[in-house]
Amino acid sequence: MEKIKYSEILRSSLKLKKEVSSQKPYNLRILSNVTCNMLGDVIAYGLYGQGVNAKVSLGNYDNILQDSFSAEDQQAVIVHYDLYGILGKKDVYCEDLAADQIRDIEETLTGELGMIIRNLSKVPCVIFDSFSSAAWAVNPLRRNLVRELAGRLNEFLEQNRTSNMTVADIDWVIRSTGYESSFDFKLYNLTKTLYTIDFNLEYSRMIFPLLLKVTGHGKKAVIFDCDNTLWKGILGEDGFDGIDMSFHSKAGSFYHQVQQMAVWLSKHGLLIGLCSKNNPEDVQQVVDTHPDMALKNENIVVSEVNWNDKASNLKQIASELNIGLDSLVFVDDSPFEINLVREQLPQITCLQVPEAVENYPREFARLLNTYFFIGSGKADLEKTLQYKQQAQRNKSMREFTDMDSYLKSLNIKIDLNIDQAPETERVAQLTQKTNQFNLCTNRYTESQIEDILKSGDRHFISATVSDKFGDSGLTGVVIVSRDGQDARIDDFLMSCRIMGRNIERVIMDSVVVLLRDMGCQTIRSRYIPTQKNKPVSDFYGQCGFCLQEENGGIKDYTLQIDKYIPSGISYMETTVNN
Amino acid sequence: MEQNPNLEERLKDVMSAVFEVEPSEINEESSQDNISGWDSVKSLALIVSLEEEFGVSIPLEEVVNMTNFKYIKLTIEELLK
Repeated sequence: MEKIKYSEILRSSLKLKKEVSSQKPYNLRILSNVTCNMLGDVIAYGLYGQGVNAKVSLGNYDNILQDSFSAEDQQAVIVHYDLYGILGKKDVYCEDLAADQIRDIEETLTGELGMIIRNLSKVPCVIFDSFSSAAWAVNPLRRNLVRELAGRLNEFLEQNRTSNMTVADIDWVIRSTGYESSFDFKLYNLTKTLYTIDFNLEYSRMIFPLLLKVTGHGKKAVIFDCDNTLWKGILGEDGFDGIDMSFHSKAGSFYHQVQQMAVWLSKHGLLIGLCSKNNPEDVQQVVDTHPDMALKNENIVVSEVNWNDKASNLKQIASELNIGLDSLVFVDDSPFEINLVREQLPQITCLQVPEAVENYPREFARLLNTYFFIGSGKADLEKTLQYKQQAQRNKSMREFTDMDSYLKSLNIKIDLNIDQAPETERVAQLTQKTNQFNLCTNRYTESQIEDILKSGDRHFISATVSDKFGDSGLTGVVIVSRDGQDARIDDFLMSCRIMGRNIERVIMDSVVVLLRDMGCQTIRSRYIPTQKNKPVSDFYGQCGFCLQEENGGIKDYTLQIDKYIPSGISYMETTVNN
Repeated sequence: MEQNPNLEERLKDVMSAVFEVEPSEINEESSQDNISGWDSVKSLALIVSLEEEFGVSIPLEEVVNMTNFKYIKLTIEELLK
């Protein structure tokens, strides 16, 4: 978020709010013991700007624990428990508190924190602000009680962190804002508002990549130019031995650092690609054999190295990866290329390699912190390989003219698993991330999926898809409920990696058979429109479900199971494991 | 002393953003009594926005008096002197 006045935020929000009002609401609540109205305004403004119909609400003042009992309708909760608010109620200066008073405070607080964390375990995204002693301006040359207490409480948060929870570093925000600009003790005195608008803007900037990710607006790929971007020099002119990205050379080391960061990113589920005007075999030779390359073949998911213009190549890359242009970040040294892309494809975020190359790694890091949230989950790690196979598939599709013969040549195998406990994490993750092929876009936490596992009348069916290029992993989920002879498809979603291969029709065949075998006679289903799922608006219709009602874009369908006409697709092998 | 010609316009602009009304609806008589929704939350937003717009710090004891256009204008003028 750029530097913007609070009054401008309020004014723009009014307009932006109307523009997003037809989108599915995204509920975010802030629970705090200081007044957070400004923070709520700033976050709502940022989300509106991304096309999210944010419904930001505030818990009651200083009622964090009580309010945490009733937050299950929220998609995100921010907890800001401020030590200044807690210790400010004591009748002595914080440094003068006795050891047993500190112990009492700590015991009460950790007890409350544990309960709050448990109460919020079903909220898909919980941001817990860390504890800080900065508001006291304590002497940095001596040990002090508040700083140590804050440290122990932060350690408690880390130790008790649940998988849906992120701890946000408040001291980082204060450092970044500047101490003098962070606190407003006048407004604290009058209204219990402790933090300034500058602090709130900086805080919002810090958590924004996470909010982008959980609302499905996160960036997914970084595409690099090569010459003077991955290395110093021009391969076509300076030659294999003339380019420089050596960790040990003066200028080359900065390029090497950026490459190292790209390697790390590729290990955490981000996609790395090349888009360069060069002879493809020359670049391939560098990637394959140059001793100073940190970025290796296995880190690079997609590569468009040719003499076409960069805008066309980036469009090609987006289509090969099957992600939106707005999911791309493009890095290039040439102002000409950057401007061309900015003009023709404004959805793409661009970084121009700074002329003072020593700033390149830091600017790249800042860009990452602005747009990417790197979680600690393990399911992301295999994604690079899977996307690489996807890009190969799409490339070989260009060589086939007839879609059916192409699909036959893939030797697609689908494994359907029903209610498999080890898959809950990946199933929940898929519901959180999938936007395009997602009929209802309900987001589930891992514990909600576990609840389905325990219930007798709800089931989740996962689809694992492989073909001759490799294994796409668990990439489809169907959630169903049964009530006697009536069944309902609550959710039907698939990763965009396996779209366009009629896999959904084959999965539907199996789901119908499965529900029939459970004794069901009818299946109800529903489509809820979002900004991204238009391509599947008629999916149930195509499967032979009858449209019963359409209301504000929401479509309700039913199917008589005995009237179902299977897809008749025979070129995929399906296995069902109960 | 010549008054800042823009001050009134800027003030109306800020107040219209905070209270979600058109700038033309803000005038000399505007106050907490005739602008709907001017509650404590809006008062807070008003103080923050005024301090930001004019680069001033409104003294603690004055904040509670900032409840009508005339007084706000006077206070800002004083602070800008």
